[in-house]
Amino acid sequence: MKKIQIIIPLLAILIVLDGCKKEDKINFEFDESQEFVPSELDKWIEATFLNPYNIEVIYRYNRYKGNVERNIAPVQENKVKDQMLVVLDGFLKPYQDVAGTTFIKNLAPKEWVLFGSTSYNNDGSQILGTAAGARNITLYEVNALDVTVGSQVRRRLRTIHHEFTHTLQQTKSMPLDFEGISEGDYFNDWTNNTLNPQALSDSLGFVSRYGRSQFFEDFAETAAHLLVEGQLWYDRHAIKSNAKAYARLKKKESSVVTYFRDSHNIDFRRLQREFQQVMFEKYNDKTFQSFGNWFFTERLFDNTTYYNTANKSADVQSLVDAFGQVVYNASTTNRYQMEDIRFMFNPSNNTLVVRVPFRGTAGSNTTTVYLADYNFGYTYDAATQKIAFTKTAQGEGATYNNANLFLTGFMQHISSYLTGSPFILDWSLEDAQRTRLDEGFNNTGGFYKEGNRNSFLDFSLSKKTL
Amino acid sequence: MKNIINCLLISVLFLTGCSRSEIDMVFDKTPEERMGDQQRELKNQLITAEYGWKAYNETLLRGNYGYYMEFDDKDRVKMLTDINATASTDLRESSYRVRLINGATLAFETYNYINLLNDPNPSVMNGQRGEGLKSDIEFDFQRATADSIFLKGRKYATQMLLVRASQAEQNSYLNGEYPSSIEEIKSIISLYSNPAIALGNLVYSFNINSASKVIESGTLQSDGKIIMNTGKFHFTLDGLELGGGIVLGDITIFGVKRNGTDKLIAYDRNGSTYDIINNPTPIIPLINLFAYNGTFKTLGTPTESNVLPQINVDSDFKTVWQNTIERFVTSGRNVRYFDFVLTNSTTATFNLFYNAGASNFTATVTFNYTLQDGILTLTNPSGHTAGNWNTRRAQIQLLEDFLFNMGPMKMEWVATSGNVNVAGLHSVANPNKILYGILK
Repeated sequence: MKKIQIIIPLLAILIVLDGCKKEDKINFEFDESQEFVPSELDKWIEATFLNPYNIEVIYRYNRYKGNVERNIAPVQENKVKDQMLVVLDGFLKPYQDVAGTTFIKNLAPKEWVLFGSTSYNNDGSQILGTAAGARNITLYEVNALDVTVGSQVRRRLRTIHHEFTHTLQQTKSMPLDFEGISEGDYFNDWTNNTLNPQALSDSLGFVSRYGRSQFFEDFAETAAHLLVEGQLWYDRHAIKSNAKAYARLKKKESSVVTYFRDSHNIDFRRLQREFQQVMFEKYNDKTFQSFGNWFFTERLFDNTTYYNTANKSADVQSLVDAFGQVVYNASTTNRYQMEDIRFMFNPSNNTLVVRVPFRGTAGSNTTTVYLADYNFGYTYDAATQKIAFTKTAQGEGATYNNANLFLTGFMQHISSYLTGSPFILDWSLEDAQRTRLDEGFNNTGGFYKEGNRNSFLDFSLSKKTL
Repeated sequence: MKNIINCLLISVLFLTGCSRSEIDMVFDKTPEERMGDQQRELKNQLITAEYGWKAYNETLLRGNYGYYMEFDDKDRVKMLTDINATASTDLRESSYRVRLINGATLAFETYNYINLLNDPNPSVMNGQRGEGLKSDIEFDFQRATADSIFLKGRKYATQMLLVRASQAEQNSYLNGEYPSSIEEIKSIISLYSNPAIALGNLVYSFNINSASKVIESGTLQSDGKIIMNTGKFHFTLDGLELGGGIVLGDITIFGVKRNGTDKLIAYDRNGSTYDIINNPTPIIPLINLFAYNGTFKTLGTPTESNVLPQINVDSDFKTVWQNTIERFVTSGRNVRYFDFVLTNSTTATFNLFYNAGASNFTATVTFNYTLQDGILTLTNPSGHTAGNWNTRRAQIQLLEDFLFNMGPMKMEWVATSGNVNVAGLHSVANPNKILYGILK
């Protein structure tokens, strides 16, 4: 009896406690930021980014995606496609080709937010791009994008590649050796123009002032510059300052390449080549990548090139052989032999000295190597890559006296070839099928007759070092 | 007894026990259904305007900007605006949405004309770095009437108003009549040098600034006080409208229309009209504008021009100036321009700018001055016995004689029929001596 008397009230209490539990949460979805009527642009984004890569592109203005308190202008619709094609061609596709679809699908940032203007900071600077936790990347100033200007496209892609390198660093830790290369030289206040000017930062072996802030950023900056500005740019940067800086930059490069291979199984060199090809073909970055630019303007290579180690077309070979014969016949006593032909360019005053070293093969002296010099001038046009030679007056002295020995023959065979009509400069002339995708594309370069691609001289190039 | 009580207890509990699936709601719909209604309602209003909308929005750094807008059900908006000539005839399309943020919000989400005003890049509209013209691109719904929608900007709390356009109005906008209307009214505005409205025995200046989209009005009351008011306006197919009105004494002007081909007429909400007349001189006395710490502190010829403005009265200064120019020419030099500057509260400077060949020179004389009740008295000239002023004595003597013998001068506007206002220092002793020029 008593038990029942206790149990029923207890039961009642249980019913009350259990049955009266009101639902404390109302289930509804309040975020409609991605609900809109899809336009043609949206459909293109879906087909090009969402479906293949799981990437969402948010271009409709959303205050909460940037600094909430700032005015940031929305993007112009007609710039969205251009900007995202840059991302596709210059970031997604090269990684996809080299590292595989699964790789890029996993690691590429999933949300890309586009803003039309920059975001203005109080200190006078502006934000161009931000990335958050590798899941999201925000690109600013899209309204100013001009895909016909290679340097603009490169700057934007450098931001993207910098951020993506951080993603890689977060999945597989960066190499230990990198940290030690510039140890002691990192500097927090990297924007300080007095304490960290460009020249100082360069001379300490940093790829950029921002890279000097700390090693984690340095790694990303180094990788991004190597990829986007390219190996030629990097090697030119390395010889800007001093031997110590050169050594450090090359070490950092090596560390980056090894890291990509060992930690991510990515052929970094191939990635570089793919990138250069895209910039050249799709974004018209022709002058920046031209042979003339790196040989004459940037002076990355030794100014003297050699006939013996060059690739040459059949007609050039015949002319040189004929000249060799002239040298041989110049003196029946000495029977001089042409040892080589050296092309000594001087880009500071657009002159060229064609120097012919020669040695007697008969007679009393068969050991001394004599030199014969022939003077030329040239005009060089960076935009068209055209070079035109003119024969200028000979000079005074021993080398010019020697030159007189073979002058007529030289003028007939060599000079007339060089001065007869203009040439076009380019890399890798030996094989017309070679492109930037091929290894060693920048190892040789020279000029071919304008209008006749089959008449050329393609020199072996030697990069300057410190 | 206990059993009955227990049974009752249990029954009561079962009857009053809570139903697990019921949610305690105050309204009869879920929050998202209710909010969704407001959102749907606003969007529906926007897309069902058969002939589009006349609109304006407000900026904090300038006045208002006018638009013609069309919204469709695919989240696309088309607009034209009075921001510049091409924008008033090229219909431009972009994306909009009615969002759900705190309430229903109209958001202009991709770049169109309205976004120019908000662009933080200062070179876009000559606005402030990081702020643009301080106007909005997202607007919260406030209220609606049968043909109007009132909105308020999310960031700067600026006003935006959309009013349904008529078929005739839509035709006008789409046929390029907006820019011609704007040009017409601007050209009539330029015919006025001192636009004003007379109300009772007060005259109110009514200066319409087409660049800043602001109307400034002021009057000198009988008690000597100056009352100034401003109003923001935008251009319309008929002239211009002031969204917030502008107060002139007891009335509030809401718009200005063309009155014939060379006059303007203002009107209030009741439809009463007020002629805009051209006052021969500015309404605001010169002494309120020309001071060392006033709106202007310099009087002279336009920079790098030696041409005096046209006036309707005689002044010896005209002859003196002409003769001075001729004397310089004879000496192989050219007079460029002059400035009379109230440098600080006690010092004034007269600068004569001239050149000799390719080199520019300045001849300067400095004065002390007192300014009392609108009377300016120059004393104690200095610097004229040395430097360029003295070197050019032969050419400059007439000018010096004129300046040194003005005595006390009254600061007053000079009557003109041209369309620049001319400031004058009128010698009290000799009314024919007026040192005059434009204010800079």
